[in-house]
Amino acid sequence: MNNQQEILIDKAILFFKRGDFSLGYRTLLDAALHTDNVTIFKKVIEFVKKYENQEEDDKSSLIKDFENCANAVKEIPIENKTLIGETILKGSNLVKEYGKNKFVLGPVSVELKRGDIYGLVGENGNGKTTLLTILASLIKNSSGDLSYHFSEGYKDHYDLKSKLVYIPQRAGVWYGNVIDNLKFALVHHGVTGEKNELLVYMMIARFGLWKYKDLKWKELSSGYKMRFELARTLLRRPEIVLLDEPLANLDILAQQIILEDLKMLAKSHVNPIAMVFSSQQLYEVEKVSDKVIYLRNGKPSEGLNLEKEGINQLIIELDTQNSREEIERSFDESQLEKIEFNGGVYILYFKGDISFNSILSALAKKDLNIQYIRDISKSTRRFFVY
Amino acid sequence: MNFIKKINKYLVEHYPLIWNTRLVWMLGIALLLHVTFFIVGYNYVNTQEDIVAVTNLESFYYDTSVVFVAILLSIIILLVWIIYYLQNNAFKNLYTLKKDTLFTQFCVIFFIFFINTSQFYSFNAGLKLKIKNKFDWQEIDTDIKEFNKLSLFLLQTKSDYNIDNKKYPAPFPLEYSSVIYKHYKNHDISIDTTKSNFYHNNYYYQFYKLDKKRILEDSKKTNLVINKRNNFKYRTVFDVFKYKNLIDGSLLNYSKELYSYGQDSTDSKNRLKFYETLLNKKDEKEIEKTILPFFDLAKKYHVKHNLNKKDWLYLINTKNDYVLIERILNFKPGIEDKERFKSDYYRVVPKYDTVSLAKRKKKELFFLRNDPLTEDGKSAIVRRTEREYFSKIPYCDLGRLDIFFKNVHEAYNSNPSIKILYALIIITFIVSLLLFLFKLTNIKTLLLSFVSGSILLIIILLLIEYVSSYKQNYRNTSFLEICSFLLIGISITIASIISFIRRWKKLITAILFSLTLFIIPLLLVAMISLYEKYERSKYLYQDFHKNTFLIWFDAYGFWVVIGIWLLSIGLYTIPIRKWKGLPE
Repeated sequence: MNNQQEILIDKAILFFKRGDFSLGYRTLLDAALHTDNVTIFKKVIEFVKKYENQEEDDKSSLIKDFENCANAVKEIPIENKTLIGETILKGSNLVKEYGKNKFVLGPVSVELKRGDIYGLVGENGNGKTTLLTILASLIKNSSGDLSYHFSEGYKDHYDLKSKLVYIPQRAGVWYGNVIDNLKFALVHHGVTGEKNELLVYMMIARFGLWKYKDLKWKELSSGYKMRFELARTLLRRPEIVLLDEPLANLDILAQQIILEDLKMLAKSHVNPIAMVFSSQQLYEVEKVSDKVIYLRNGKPSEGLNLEKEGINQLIIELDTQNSREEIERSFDESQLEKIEFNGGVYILYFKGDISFNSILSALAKKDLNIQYIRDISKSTRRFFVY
Repeated sequence: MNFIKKINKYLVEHYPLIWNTRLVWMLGIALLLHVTFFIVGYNYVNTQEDIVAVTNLESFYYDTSVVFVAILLSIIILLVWIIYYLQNNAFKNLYTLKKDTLFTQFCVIFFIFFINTSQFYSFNAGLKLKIKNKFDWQEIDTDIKEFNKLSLFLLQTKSDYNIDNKKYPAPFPLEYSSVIYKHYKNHDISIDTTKSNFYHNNYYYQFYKLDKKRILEDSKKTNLVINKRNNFKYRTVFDVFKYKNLIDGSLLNYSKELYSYGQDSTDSKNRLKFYETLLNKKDEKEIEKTILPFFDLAKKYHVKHNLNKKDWLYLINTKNDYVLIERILNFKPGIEDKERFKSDYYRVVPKYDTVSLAKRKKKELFFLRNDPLTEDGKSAIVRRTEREYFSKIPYCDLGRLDIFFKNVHEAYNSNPSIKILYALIIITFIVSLLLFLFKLTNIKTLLLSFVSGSILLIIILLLIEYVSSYKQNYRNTSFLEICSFLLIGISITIASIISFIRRWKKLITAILFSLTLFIIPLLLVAMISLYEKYERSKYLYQDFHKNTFLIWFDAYGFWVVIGIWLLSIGLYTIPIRKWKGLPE
């Protein structure tokens, strides 16, 4: 069996050599963080300084240093762990009632395993935040069972909440600079002195905060505030992370980076994390999530039997300048079941066994002016259609 | 700045609580503040005039603008500190905390508040040091003794020379009763006519000692008010007829201690012995020697006076058994005063007239022959007396010398009032607790706690009002107040525990916790008050004597209450920590 740490480091070198400098850099930092070794941290931070100080996008001149660093990390043996897949949170038939004739969430059943990423989608007011806060033990569920299975257990509720990390949509204001806040968070988790500083710098580099480390909260953009929250969260070595709309207010590039980071962190072979996050960015969520929970009126998609509807049906989302008639003319009557238009995009439902490629071909033949097309047959996007 | 950064870096990486509370910097600022106030205190007084500006050393701080400056500085420093302190909150962020961290945090808050509001002690220390450097107590003590000796001759207050002040020789001091001669035969008078008494200047006098112990015992038993008209059986009467001339006022009666600071009973005894010996000699020269140091002392301590030996010795009246002639004014007389008092200050002097015997009638010659004749025998030398008025009305204004001696004595011998320390600790404790609760909860919880506390107070008042009106003639309202408070206070304390165990709403638990933390010390005080009232009730018609516990509580109760309060905060931080972890 190949050593996962070595595979990770080789990947980092490969990314860097191919020119995916940022990805390689972040992967190397993850590998270095796995070592938990002060000497490695020092060496990596030396490289980080060079990397961050080079203003050109092309970092290929740093490949030698990068490799040296990667080899040093490789020298620290990290045994393969089998933590991924261990159940860490189990919620059965969770229900939250807010009084008679008021909103009811659930019943929802969730089983979170280490390394799992759960996406939570649904329109506003359908219970995403409620479910997250129940899982974060911030509010009490009206009925149902909720249990946690941390590697070291917990002594009391405060201890439980220390282990659960919930990042709300609007993270609280903090004062002072980035470094001090991260050091303050880390020192409470028993990491003091030199290691405290090194680990904080590692995390700052990992989340792209290096240039902003001396800034204050109000001086950071929304994206960097979210990165700060993630850095602070990860310093606590959490086993469960619950994020409420982490992508809100982020530009598309920032969204992609954050999602990629979440995935990398969740799937860490040393400290895999169970993650649940809610978002309105359906496609981005689906891209990184192992499972997506769709909530409508407080009920999960399983409970609504939505999953079964159109389970073998091809459903297309289409954005075009052409008219509805022109679209209809592109397909045989026998193929197209119905078209829905919400004012922005068309949703096309097809009958029988028809492939996405044949749809593309049919549209190309009619020379329609396509802005955007997507197969949403397996996506929760289809639930958002009325 | 680098130095500050280095220390901050070290603290945040090693001691988050110290970093968060800015303890090191607050200690530094407090040190600076205390040094500043010490210097201000040291420079606040320079002369005797400065020292007598206020009646005690504490007033140099609390009765001047110094206290306002100190309060403003404390407020500014603490407000800035609070802003920084509230910036990071490990508890609200649910960072891993040890079980004792919250309590330690409260202690640090209290310490910071205390050291930044206790500038009084530095100011007081500076003030005292300056007074000590300027004035030697040994020297002042000697001067006080000298002043006390001289005070016999200062004749400032007539009543000081009354016979009821006489303390020597035995059997003095004595009490006396007097009755005007017309009433002597009456029944209801203050003289026991069956025992020794004497007549003097239209009054009958009786001198005696009272057995006060027996009076106290009997009054307890009978609940009878014992006074001069019915205390005859407790009197031991003395025949002091030979001292009857002293009744009109004499230096022989004087026993007052002019300045008591640093003087003990031995000094007092020696002084009285000195008076007795000196006065018994009736030697004006000796008395003159005794009053002479006054002039130097007056100069040294800026005592305003216009005394001269001649007039002063006349007023001392050595030749006439020191009978009080007239007092020496204790203020400098103004023009109006001079007119008013002029006729009171004179000496009677003999004058001799030569009266010719020639052409005198027989009757006149009969009288004139009793007078000595001139050498030629033609004239008689006739003696008469004349009032010779003092050229100046004598006065001696000791001014605020008493305060000067008092303040210097305080600088050397006493510590600041313990009450100031108590007040400071209580205020600091309350403010620290408010800030601590705000840090743990939020402003909403604090405000609701305040509202709840106010409502409870109203309920207690209504309860008292109701019971008082229901049970007419119920006068013991303070007992009712304590019981009502105890009832509600204990209920809230128990409710706070139940709310936590039974998992009531977090907000309600937080309010109950907040109220309980303020109620606990009051409960303790209320319980002790109730116990004292109970003890008092046993002494319905007698003087109340506190038992050993109550005496002990008077002495150490404050520290016990503060200790228990602190302990309760320590105990409550354990459930508070758990409470934070509970879901809403």
